[in-house]
Amino acid sequence: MRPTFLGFETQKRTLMIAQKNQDIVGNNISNINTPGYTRQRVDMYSMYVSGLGEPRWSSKSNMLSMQGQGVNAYGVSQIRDTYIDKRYRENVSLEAETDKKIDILGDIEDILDNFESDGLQYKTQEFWNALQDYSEEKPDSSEVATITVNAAVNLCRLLNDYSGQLKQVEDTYVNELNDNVEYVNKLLGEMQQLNVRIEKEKFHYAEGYGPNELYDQMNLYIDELATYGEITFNQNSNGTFDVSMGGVKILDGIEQKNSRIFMKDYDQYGTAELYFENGQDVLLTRGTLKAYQDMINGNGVYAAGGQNSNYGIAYFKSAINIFARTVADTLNKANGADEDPSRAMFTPSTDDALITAGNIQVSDSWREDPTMIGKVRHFNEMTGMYEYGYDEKRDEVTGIVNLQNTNVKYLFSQFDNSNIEFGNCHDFKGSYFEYISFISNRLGQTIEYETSRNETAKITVDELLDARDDVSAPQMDEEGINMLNYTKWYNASSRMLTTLDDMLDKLINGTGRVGL
Amino acid sequence: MRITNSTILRGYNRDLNRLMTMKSQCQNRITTARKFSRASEAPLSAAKALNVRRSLYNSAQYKENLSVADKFYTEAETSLLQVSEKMATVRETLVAACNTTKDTQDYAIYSEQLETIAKELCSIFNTDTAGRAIFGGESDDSMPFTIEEDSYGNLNTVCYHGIPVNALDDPSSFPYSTPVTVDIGLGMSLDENTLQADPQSVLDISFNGAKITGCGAEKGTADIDLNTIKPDRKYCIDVYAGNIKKTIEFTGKAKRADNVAEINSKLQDAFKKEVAYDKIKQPTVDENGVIYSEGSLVNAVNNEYHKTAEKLTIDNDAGYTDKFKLNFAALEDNKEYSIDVTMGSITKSVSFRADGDADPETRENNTIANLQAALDDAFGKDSDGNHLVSVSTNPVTKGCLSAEGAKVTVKDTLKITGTDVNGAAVKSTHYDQIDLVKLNNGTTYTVKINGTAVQFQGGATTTDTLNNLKAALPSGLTLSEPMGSTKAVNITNASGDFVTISEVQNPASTQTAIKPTKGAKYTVDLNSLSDGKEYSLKVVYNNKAKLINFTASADKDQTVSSIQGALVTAFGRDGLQNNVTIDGDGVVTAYNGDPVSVTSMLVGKEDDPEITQRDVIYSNNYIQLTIDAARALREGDIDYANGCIDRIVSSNEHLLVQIADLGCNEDFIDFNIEKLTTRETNLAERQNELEVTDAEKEITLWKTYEALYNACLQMSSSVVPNSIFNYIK
Repeated sequence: MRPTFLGFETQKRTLMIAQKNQDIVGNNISNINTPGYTRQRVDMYSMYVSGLGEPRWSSKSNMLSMQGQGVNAYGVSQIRDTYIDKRYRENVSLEAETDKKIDILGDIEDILDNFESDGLQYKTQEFWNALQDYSEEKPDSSEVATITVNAAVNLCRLLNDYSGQLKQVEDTYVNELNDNVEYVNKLLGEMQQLNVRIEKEKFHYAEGYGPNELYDQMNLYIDELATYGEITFNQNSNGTFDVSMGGVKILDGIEQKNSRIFMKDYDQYGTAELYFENGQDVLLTRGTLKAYQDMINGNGVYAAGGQNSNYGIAYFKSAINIFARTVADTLNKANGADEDPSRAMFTPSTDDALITAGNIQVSDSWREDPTMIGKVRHFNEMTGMYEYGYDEKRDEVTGIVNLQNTNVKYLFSQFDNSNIEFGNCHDFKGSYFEYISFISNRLGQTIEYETSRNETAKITVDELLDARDDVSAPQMDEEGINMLNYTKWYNASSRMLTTLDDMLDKLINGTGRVGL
Repeated sequence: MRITNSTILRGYNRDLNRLMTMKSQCQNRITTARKFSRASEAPLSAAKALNVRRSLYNSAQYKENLSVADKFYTEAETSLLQVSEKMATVRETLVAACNTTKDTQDYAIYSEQLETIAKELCSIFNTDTAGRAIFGGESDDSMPFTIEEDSYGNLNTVCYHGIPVNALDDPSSFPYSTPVTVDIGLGMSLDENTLQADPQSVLDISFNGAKITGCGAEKGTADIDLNTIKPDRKYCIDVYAGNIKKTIEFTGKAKRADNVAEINSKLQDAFKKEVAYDKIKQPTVDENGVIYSEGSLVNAVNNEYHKTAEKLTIDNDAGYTDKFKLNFAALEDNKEYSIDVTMGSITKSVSFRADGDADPETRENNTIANLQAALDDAFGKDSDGNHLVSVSTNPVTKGCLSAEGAKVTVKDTLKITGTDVNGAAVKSTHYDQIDLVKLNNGTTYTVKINGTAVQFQGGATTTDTLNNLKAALPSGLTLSEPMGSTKAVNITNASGDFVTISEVQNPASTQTAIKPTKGAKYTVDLNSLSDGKEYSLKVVYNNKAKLINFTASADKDQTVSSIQGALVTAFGRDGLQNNVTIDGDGVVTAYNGDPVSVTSMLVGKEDDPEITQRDVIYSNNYIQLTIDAARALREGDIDYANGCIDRIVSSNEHLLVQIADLGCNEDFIDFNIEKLTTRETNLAERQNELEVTDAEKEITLWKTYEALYNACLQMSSSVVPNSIFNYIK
């Protein structure tokens, strides 16, 4: 036996569900421009009420009386594709990493520029030209010799300048890395707070449903965290999220696990090294934090200790140090500094034993006597001592100087020696100029490589953002159609109530009054 | 695919940004006129561009170097053309002078004309370009050529860098003959040891004046074949020594040694006056028939006019070339040497020991005696007991090998050595010193004194160190007072001789052992000085070389005081103390202990020389030839002057060859400049291709981007599409 007011109940619920659908359409349209918003929908089902438990008003012969009870809804769900999220977060970390690397390498390239400004090639070339000019003159032509010294001083200053600027870049990025680490720690703190809230809210929801807006917020956080390093994540049944970074779990539901990242004292270790709260090293394969580490610690073939073999700031610092040292050592040796230290053309300005780009300077003996390099060593048989004079044939009576400027020729011939070992790690063998090209090329190619990686990552990230929108973003027409649809639906349900009312009116007021 | 608003907006935004970036990059390329500003923008082009830049810089530098060289060559050519004109004048003057009979007055005028031209030639060759004499080889001396005058003020000898041009046959034997070169990008290669450039790889920008003007003379040394002298025959030969010709007559003797004695006594008589006036050194003949006169060219010919005399075989082609002379400097003490000696058709291997005596003269004489004994063993002696192959012991040809009647060749690497100029005898003694200042306080040092190891400690002050050293010194040895700023001390034994000190690594510590420094002591042999003669000493002290001129006196003390006076003038005083002093024994030392070196030179006092006869040496040098011709005319020797004409003509041919050579080199320079210019043009084009913006392309691109960008902006109002909401009521 069908209950008399079954239809009213059904239509009441229909009106309510239609109204809720309209609410969600409204919500979707409202949030069409909200970052991180995932479109929602009402999960509806056709209502079925079984009478088996309470057969009081049902007939046992069939279930007819209980059919047609209308619509009901489980809850409001989000439309989201976790696989796309995972791929997006992988690629966005690559994009962020290469972005940062390009920034840093670009700064290095600005310093070591050979094209827009007078760089190392030009200054070295000027020095060579000055030696050439001097070689044509008499060895005691102090004016030309002074020009030669000045060319060498300029070369040294450029190298000093390079060294200082690279140090500045290094300091800048070490500080930036520090700030980044702080920010990641703050982010993780907020995520943990959010997890606590999610757990509380979720408690009130049915299985499979939860606080959508909080989920959106959490996904935004995870997206952001993904730019710093590669992460994995999953959502627990209580709605909370677990996050691992570089293989180490840093967020375990409401627990904030080992989640703080620390940086070793840079001034003490000389390398940028990160570790988790539990002491494990932060070993990343992607992301901004890795970009900083690669670039600050990357020392190519010269890598030692906490350094790595990337071509980063450390490598280019080494490269110009090696250049300064090799040029100074080979020229000093050619000038006879091995036997007589006062013959050195270049010396360190500090107490260091080795010459670097930072400390290279023209030696006092050369600066004070620019024609020092025009003099050659010869044995004075009368005094039994080695002496330096303009030529082994100089005339001691008249003091007349010979025209031979052989030593200067020998010095500039060093520039053509293409068998000079640069660095002790077989990094490069060639001439000074070949090494300058080599460094310029290596830097250019490293940037080009990172740029091409960056472009690939950007394209993929764009595609994945589109794919994510494809699934999750509200679409205006779609919502409009739904709105029209739900309006008509609502109207139809209301009409049904009127009809039911009419029907009852007929039954109650019109029954038995045929012909009235 | 659901196209959502955010997809559209993000895409629009991204594309707009990309267009903006491309437009701005394009704009940048146009405004900077560069294809790239950073190597990373075009790594391959950048790598190439760096190479091209280097090549461009190099080309420019090499071009500059070439134009420097060109300047010298042009200057040299101009000078030589002038010289050629002067030579024509010399020839015309000589022809005019020789072809008509003239009186002494006329000849004097011609002679003066020639002397003027000779001076002009000399000044042309002393041409100074950019502060360097271009015909001076590698020397910076502004006057490479000088003409010495005789006591009458007549021009006498042309010298190149102080060496008479007639004295050496090989132009490269003159001083400063190493070429001065510039790198012109031919791939300069330098010898690691001498630092001299491979001449093929560089351009020579110096000119050897001796080579260009000619050097050497037509005649060499005289070598009489003593075997051709027969007993009781009469001989008459003309001997030329320096510029002096003498005729000597002598009668042959049976024994070779007697012949030598006979000729020597005749030579002594003949040149008595010249030797007395110091014009030349006494010419003598040695046991091998070689006539020599120290410092002068000698030759001899049979006197054609002495009909009754027998002819002698005289070899004037420099029988004693340096080719077969022992190179004493190269010989190592106490070493065995083996050389192949060929006399005529006989070749023998001869082994001898180089002597190791401390005194160089004894060492050389002993070495010669060793070699002579070995030669005698190999080749034997003749019936008179003379060596068949002999080693000369006379000062000029010392160490030369010769044999009578047969040519001697030596197959080995024995080299040429020069001869020293004799003046005041100077002996040098090297001694070892210990520098006290360099020693550290508290460190134990070990030194070997005369072979015995002696240990002593460095003290807080040099006086302490000195006392420590004194205490440690074996008996019989004396320490000198510390000298100079290094507080250097030397050690003498009981007889006052210096002892050898050598360093020993200190076994007790890692301290670097002290290094004994070498000092040197020079003694002027006062006994060797002749009364009233002028001498010149070259004294080097504190890197200054000075000539000390003094006149020797019979009283030694007077000589010493005149040397001391000259030393004070030359080197001054330090307070009350003379910087360089000479003591009564002739030892020259510096007050502060610094090294002093002394070598000597002879300054002959010009006494009234009387030139009796002129030599018939024809110089290969045309300036000398001009002067010789001038003198011949002055003295009325028309035959000689006539002989000069031919030689002037051939000298001029030689000169034309030199000018042609210079022309070739200038062509070579022009060719290279042109080559480099073409190369620069090509490189500049290549650089343009690599680095300079292709303006048409870029502007077209820029216009395209701008149009696209504007189009995008125009679209902006409808980027957010109408939706169903625009139409439902």
